[in-house]
Amino acid sequence: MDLGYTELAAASRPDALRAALAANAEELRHAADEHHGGEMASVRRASYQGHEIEVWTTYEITVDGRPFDVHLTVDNAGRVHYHGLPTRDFPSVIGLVKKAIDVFGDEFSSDSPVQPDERGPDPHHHDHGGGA
Amino acid sequence: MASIRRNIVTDQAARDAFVSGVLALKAEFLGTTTADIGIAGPARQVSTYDLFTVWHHLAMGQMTPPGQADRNAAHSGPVFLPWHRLMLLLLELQLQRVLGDDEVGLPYWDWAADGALPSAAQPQAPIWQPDGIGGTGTPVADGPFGADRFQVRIDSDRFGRLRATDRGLRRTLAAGVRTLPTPQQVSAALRRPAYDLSPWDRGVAGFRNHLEGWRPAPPGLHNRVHVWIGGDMGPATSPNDPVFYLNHCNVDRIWEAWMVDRGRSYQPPQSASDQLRFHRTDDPMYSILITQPITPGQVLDIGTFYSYDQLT
Repeated sequence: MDLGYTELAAASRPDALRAALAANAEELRHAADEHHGGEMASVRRASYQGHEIEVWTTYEITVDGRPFDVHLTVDNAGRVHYHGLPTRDFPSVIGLVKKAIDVFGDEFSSDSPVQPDERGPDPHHHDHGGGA
Repeated sequence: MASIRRNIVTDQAARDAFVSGVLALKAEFLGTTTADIGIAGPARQVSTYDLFTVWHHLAMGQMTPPGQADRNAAHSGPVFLPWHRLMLLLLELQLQRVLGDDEVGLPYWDWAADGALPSAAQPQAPIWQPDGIGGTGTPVADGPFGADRFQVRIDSDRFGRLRATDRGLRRTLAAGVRTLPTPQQVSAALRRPAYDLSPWDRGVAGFRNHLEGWRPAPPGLHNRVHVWIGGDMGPATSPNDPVFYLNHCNVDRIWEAWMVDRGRSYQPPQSASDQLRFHRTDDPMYSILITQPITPGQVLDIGTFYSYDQLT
């Protein structure tokens, strides 16, 4: 089906925009939730000579002793990604955290309030081989 | 009415219309509040402009499929280019509405032209002057989006959660990486024969992944522009900075050039796995701002809506 200018222009009027927002109200109510990729662990998978390889990686990170409990993922090349900075990847987690401090500096200051999600280290989180 | 998208650096009228339209959309409130989008604290009105920022943020959190953190409903997969084409088209229609001119087109910023300049000259290029879109700063102090005229009302914290704020725009030009992408890097992307490749993620060597910037040397092209500008262009709320649209309009122009050369083809087909929901050619793209389902296949030929004054 071809897109029509008249139809899309009509869909951009305020009443149509309000209707679209109302139709997606439940989705919008969760817009402020933390971005998660599902499990907190990062899983790398590869096939090699008929074998299926899985590498599970989790991290425990603190900054000034306070947990920096975010979901990091590692790709098959070993580079690390973080949803807070979605257009970059990093060769090391240390470099990633440094950049997060650069961008979100106010939140890392000593007088910033403790966030509800600043959980203490989870004894079930272990680094199973973090390649980056 | 089809518009013509023009170079913001060389077309003052296109620049002025863009600035006027953005400021009008920032000042328009249709009733949605921060409480409606789950932000704690006193409810505040959310502008039409900021609804686009919320949409982008939401799309980035919509993992495809759930349970992995690579491909989402707008990035790191095939739909990256069609989804942003749709987003820009809907913003362009909003600009036309608030300006009362159905021939207004989004301008593009040909960042590779600035990438051909010496690195020290790049942050001083015309676009960053007060009669362009203003320069660097935390907050930006000059130009049409300086702190005296333009406020960021919603951003995201280090956990990726939306929150209310009230501050000026932030840019840290050339701090994240020293240089913009070059014309040679754009040419190399245009030579990629395949639009995208299985497994449709950040690791493949197709055209989409080169233009998005995950290959061959990240951050490249689109991603590199985000990183080079820095500040509010870093997080998932990057549409907070109007330069987001100038960057993506140029990305869309490069995609259009690729299609003119290679044909209006798209991958993956609808027969691909359900794990690729939102990315297959006939999947409705993720949206909160329009009820009409629009698919990647429907936006490959967009001549009804706009064209570019010049392709690369």
